[in-house]
Amino acid sequence: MTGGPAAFPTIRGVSCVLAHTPGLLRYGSKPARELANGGATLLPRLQAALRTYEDAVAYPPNQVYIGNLAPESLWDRPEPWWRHAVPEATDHGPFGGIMSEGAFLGLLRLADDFDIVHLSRDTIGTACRLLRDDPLWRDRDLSRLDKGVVDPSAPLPDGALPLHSPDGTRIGYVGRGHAEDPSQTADILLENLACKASGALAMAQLVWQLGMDAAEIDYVLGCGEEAVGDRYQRGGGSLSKAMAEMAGCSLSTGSDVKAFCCAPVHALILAGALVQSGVHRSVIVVGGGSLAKLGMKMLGHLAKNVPLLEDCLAGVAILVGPADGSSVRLRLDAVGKHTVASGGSAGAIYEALVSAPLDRLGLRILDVDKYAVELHNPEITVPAGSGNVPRTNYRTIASLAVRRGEIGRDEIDAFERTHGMPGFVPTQGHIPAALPYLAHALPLLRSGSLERVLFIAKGSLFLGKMTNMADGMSVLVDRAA
Amino acid sequence: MILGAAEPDYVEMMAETVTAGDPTYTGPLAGVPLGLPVYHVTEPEIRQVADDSVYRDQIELSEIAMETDRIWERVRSVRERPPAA
Repeated sequence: MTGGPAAFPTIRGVSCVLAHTPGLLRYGSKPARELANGGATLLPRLQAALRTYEDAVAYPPNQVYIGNLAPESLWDRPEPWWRHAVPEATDHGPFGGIMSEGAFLGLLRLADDFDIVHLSRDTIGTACRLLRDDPLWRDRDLSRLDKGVVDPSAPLPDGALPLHSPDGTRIGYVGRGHAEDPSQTADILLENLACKASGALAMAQLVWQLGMDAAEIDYVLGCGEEAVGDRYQRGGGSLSKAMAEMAGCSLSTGSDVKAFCCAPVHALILAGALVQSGVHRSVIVVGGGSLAKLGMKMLGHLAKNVPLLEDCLAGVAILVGPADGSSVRLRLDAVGKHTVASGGSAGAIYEALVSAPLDRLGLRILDVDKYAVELHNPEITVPAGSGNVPRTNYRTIASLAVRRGEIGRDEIDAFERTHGMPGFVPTQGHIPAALPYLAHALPLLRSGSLERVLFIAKGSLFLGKMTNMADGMSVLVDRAA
Repeated sequence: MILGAAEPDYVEMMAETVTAGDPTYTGPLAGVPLGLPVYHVTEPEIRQVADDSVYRDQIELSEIAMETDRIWERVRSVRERPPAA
């Protein structure tokens, strides 16, 4: 590293967007499997448990996600949060908006270069009207929306997947790729288009809120988990350049970083390195939404009469730029990595991701104001028996502080409040992996309310059955002195 | 059956699942009473038979983080409950 601390790359902006997609929820992996295994009685229960757009907008964690509330404010709100809507909630916040399904279906069609998505005339009319009212999309060419109009009552083509409104009315379909290509079935193409559209939405929002010309973006690193490709290279493709095209970033190219839920922090560090080295000047890290994870915990929610809270696709985009001497720095000298040799115990993982990067800078655990961990909304995970993920993370970091003699055992409970936050992010795989907090931290770091935040992500590499290992990465973001 | 989860509610649910059957009726053990003796890995019965250095290396940090009193109480309540007639 040369040039002293002021030379670190900086975080220029962060966007966080949601698309409320209750009609698509049935194509999440879990709902699709459950409906296939006995859907006649399940489908009406599922439809009855869907939320309206207004409910999704007024849901306190969603208001936190788009920046209208601070994460810590959730501690003071009555629970369950889904029963206590935010009064006079708006669908836009400082980090982005909550798009309705009516508009998002239009975005899916705009994302489609191969005439895959077909919608009814009414659906297209609604989408056109909503997108023409949206400052992100109203000046773009929406003529593609008028093509691919179908009569929703007509028989489905072979291999097509019907699209429905939340009440079950047919409104169109998604076609398949080549008939003999298991990597381009209609459900896979829908999953990939949903990720492309929501990621492009996050990028368009980021460029818009920064008042930039999209052509200033040099490079895009995608960090989503969707497998784009065909039968000869399943998962070998990338969404980043496709998102860049859709968001108008005409002078950028890109590639995707794949590491399950750990990918966003890998990508952020790589973006910083590309900027630091001078290879690129303005790099966006982007994650689109995960259709497969819609309704993932639905059985637990239905059993406990909780609405299906996993009804939103989420996107996040972060702009990394060169040092400007006055901003929020990505400390590339304080990167933590969980290595092959690290070991899989909690102690080994947190030593690698917390102790190692802080020790390198001579910092204590308590010197970091906030730890951004896996920020899954506990109201989604707890009813399904998956526990309060961020709380477990905070208690483990606090235990590390106990072992290092920085705090006593009786201070573990307080650590979550002083150095953590409640989970507020939808269970969208890679999206809850720490980075949405960067949107909240950025103004606080700029104003001096925060000095340092450590971003920590872990990934379940073992899910792919290629290794038994997990993965983990961390990086410190601080305020330039 | 040895459990390692960190949350009392979750531990109790898992303990219930491998004794009386899945209480949430969402998995394959719904209505399947396996009746297995169930312990949490941090309980003294397990700790005293574990290799001390392995325990320190693999479990200790997690144990500090856990509310072990509540976890032990929940898992004992399931383990020591008389089997249903």
